[in-house]
Amino acid sequence: MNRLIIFIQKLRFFIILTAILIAQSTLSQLKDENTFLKWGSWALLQTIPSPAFFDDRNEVTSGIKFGMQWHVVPVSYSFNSNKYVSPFNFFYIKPVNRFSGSVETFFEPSLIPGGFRNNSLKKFMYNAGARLVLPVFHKGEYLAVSLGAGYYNQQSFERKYDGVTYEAGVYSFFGMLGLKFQYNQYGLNRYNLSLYIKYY
Amino acid sequence: MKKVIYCILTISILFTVSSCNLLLVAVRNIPTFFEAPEKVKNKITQPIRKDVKLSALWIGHATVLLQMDDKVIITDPFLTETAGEFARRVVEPGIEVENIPPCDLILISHSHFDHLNLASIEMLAEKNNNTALVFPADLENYIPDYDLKLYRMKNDNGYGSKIIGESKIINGIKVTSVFAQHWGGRYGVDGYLWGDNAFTGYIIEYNGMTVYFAGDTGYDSLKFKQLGAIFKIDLALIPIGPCADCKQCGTYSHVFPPDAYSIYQDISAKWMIPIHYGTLHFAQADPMEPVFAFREIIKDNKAEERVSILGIGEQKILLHK
Repeated sequence: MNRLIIFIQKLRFFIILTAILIAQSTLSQLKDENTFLKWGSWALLQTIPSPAFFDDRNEVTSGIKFGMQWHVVPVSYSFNSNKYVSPFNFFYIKPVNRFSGSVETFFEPSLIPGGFRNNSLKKFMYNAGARLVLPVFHKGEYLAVSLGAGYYNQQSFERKYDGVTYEAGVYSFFGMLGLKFQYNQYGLNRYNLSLYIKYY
Repeated sequence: MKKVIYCILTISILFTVSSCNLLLVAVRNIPTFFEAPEKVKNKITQPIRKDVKLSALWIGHATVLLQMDDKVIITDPFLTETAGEFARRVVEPGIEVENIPPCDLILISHSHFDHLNLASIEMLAEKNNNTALVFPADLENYIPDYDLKLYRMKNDNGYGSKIIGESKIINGIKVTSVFAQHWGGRYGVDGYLWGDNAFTGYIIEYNGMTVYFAGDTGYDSLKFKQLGAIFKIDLALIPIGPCADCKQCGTYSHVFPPDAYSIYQDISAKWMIPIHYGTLHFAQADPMEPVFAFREIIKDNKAEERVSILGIGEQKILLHK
């Protein structure tokens, strides 16, 4: 956690500069692309976490812990992109490419600020894998669903709990808001439910 | 930990502020979700007629079905009940989808949710895969693949210096992308911050007739006068809203009724049909507010015979064969 705070402190200047540019630009819609502003604001938007609930259990008792999850999509391949755009997107994923039908890899770090109580898992964990995104209504802008599987990694103070994870999601509002359910192989943190917030 | 939370909150607030226009539209539209869209009586079932050379049927908002001799053109098709999920129509579309004939051209002026409706394009694509979908540069980032012929038109990166993007002959019709003063984007931040330029106006020329579709635009007298000097426009489809105080001049990216009439005069068009009002709640005023103000302007200028204010679903036949 301290490392994260130090990292954010190092980025202070970048965050403030981008924030000032955003505040100015919002008043007069930008006509020309400003590379720094575009990628700076995009990077900042990626730091918005999705609120998530994590299963917290041991052999005797169970509970739910609140945490945060970030959604990173390293590669997406759209099978419904038009002839003018590449079907491949890397990190910066065009929503229509993604939700009109795609396969993608994902990396999702999670943080449980209050820590687990019933099991001895650490506050940080991650999962990575691949998912299929399918449109349902309005080419996926109104409603899309996903199914995925991958690897998840959690650690307690004694040992590593890693294994297979399965997930399903529903997305709406141009794919920027969704709900994702995750089923993990190990019982200490079997189910996760998270909102899915991601802009591009 | 507090610092992390502060950072996250700051970023979230910035995101919200950047998208505030979308949020305002969403808030204004909340009441519409509790009432069904008003019905259109006596909808036209056969909009294309053999004895007609030039006609326009206003389907609502910026959607107009044009007949130019044997060609059928539709502008910014919005045929569904909602635009972008959070804006519901106050009046239903002025024609049943099954009565829209296969189109030769689908013209998209820009990427905003009230002009680019992915489901409506799909409905039209099912009718005829020879239809051409025409859109400005940058808009390719907002559309999936359709079973249509796609044509991307240059727009001088948002008409920074030129007023003509480019001309193409598409399905036998000459289409020219022309000046508009607006902005692109679709999801809030991309339009406000990222300098997306997916917007344009169009000039459509066929068999000696010229139609101008303004899309959504702000006012620039000089550029519209230049446009009028280049093209001899018969019919102009010009937006008159959204506006709250509709007797004032418009904003950078939207014309209000006085500017809309100025555009009509600047381009020296023979006829005009006002569009972009009466369908969705955008401004704080009634969606019909723009037309109340526009009607007064038309009356003051004695232009009733040249400017046709249509009801949704109404068709104006301008030239017979």
